[in-house]
Amino acid sequence: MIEIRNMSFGYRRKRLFSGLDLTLQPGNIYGLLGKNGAGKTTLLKIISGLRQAQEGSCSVLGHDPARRPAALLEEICFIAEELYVPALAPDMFVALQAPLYPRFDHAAFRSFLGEFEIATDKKLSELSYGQKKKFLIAFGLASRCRLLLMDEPTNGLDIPSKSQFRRLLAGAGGADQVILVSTHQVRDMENLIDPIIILDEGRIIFQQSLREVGTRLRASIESTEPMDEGALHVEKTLGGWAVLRENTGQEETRMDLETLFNAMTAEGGRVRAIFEEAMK
Amino acid sequence: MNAHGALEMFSIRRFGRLLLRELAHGYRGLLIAMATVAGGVIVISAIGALAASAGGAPAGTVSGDGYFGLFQNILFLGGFIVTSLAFREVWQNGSGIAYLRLPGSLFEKFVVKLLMTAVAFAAGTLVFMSAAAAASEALDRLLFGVGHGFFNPFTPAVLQAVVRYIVLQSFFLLGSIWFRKLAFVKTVLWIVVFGIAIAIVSGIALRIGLASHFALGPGHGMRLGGWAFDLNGAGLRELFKPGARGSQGAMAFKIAAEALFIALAPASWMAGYFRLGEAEV
Repeated sequence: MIEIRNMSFGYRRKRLFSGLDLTLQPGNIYGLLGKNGAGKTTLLKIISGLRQAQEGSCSVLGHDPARRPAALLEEICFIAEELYVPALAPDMFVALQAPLYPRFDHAAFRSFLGEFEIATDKKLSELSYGQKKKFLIAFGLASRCRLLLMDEPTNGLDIPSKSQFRRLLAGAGGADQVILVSTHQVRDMENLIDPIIILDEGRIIFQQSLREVGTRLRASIESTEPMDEGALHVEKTLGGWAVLRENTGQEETRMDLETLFNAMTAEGGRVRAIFEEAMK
Repeated sequence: MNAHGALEMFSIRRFGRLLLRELAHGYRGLLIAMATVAGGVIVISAIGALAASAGGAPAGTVSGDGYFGLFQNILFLGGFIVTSLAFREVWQNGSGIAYLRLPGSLFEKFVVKLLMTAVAFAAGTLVFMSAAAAASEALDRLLFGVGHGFFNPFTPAVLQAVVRYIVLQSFFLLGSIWFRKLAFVKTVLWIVVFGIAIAIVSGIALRIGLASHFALGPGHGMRLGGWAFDLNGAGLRELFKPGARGSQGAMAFKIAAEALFIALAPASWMAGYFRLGEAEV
C-alpha cells in the first residue's frame, strides 16, 4: 500500500531523511512516534504529496504521490495539525467537498458529528480549535479513504473528546485502510495504535506490532534502581524505576509506549538486536 | 494519451465540483466588491451629471464615453487584484494543505482558477457594468436630465479590452502562483522591470539596425561622442511614415508584436501550470 525505498529529503539547512525505508500494509492503525523535529509531519506530507522526496522512491496505492494524481487524492485524507476550514456552514462544506470522495458515507458522518457533539448551526470558521478538529476528523473518517493520515489528532481535544476520538477511530478502520497517526501523546493513543513506528535521526529505527513487542520485551516498575546487565533501559519515574527488559517468558506482556520510545531513542541498538535475533 | 489517462487529467464531474467550490468560497467577497464598485459608479456618474446640469447643459444631453473608462478601470485594476489573490490559498498555512490535497488533477485545478479570474471575471464585469450603468443612467437622467450614455458591452473597443485583459491577466495569474506574498505588487514590479529591459534591448537593437536614420546633421538631437540620438524620432518617423520605405516593415513588426503579446498568455499559463505542480507546503 505504501512503499518507501531509500528515500532522502532535506530542507535548505537541515538534512531530514537519508535512505529511509518504510512499508505500510492495509488493515492497521500505525502509530508514528518521534522526537520534535524528527520529521514526522514531513513524512506525512511526502506520503500525501505535499512534499516531494529528493531521492529514492515513494509509492502510495501504486501512485507516485509527488505527482498528486486525482485518483490518489480521492483516496487520501490528511488531517493536519494546522487546521483550515473555510467560512462556510458545515452543510455547505459537506455538499461541496463530500462528492469529491467517491466512498463518502453521509450516514456515518452524521453519526460522528452527533458523537462529537459538534454544533452545526455556526460557520466552520467560528468553531473553536477543538470543534474544528473534531469536524475534520469526522469528515476524514466518513470519507472512507484508503489512506487516513493524522498529525497530532488529539492535540486540542478535551478529555471526553479524546475518548470519543479513540472509540470512533477504533471502529472506523477498515481492512483495506491504512491509518497513520503521528503523535507525541502516546497515552492518548495507547490500545489504539499498532504497529508502532519510531522515527529518529532520519531513519525508521523501529517498526513492530505491539504483539511482537510484548512477546520480546517486558516493561515494569521496580522500586530500586536495577544494576544488572539485563536492564535494557532504566528511567526514574514517580513510582520508582521504569525498566525495560527482554521478555524471556512465554507470556505476552503489556508494553508502556513511553518507556519503549525512550528506550529506542536512547539505547535502540540493544533492543533492536533482540528483534533481529528473533528474526533469524 | 489513453482514455484512462485523459480521465485522470480531466473529469467533468470533478471539474464541476471544483468550480462550485471556487464559487462558494469566493462569491461573497466578489459580491461585496461589486456592490461597492456599483455604488462608486452611481455616485461618480451622478456627480458628473450634476456638474453638467449645473453648468447649464440642456436636458437630454448625453456626454462622456458611455462608462467605457470606468469599465476599463474595473476590468483591469479589479481583475488584476482578484487574479493576484487566486492562488493565495496555496501559500497559506493550513489552506495550502487543504487545496493541494483536493481530489482533482493539476489541470482541473489550474483551469478552474483561470476560468474564474479570466473568463468569469470579464463576463461578470460586462454584465455588472451594463446593469450598474443602466441604473446610474436612469437615475442621472431622472434627477439631472443629463447622462453619460448607456454602456454597450458589444462594441469592438470593449471586446478588444477584454482580449487585452485576458492576456495581461495571465501575468498576474502566474505571479499569484509564483510569489508567496504580495503577489500583486511583485507582479507589477516584475512587469515594469521586464518592460524596461525589453525597451533597452529593443532600443539598442533599433539604434544599431537603423543607425543611419538616427544620425542627423550638426545641431540636431542629442549627441554623445560620435553618436547622435534623435530624441524626437523625426528620422524614424520619416522612415516609417505611410508609403515610406520602412512602412511595410513597421506593419509587419506591429503584427509580430501583437502576435507575441497574445502568445504571452498561453506561455504564462503553461509556466503557472508547472509551477502549481511543483508547489510544496
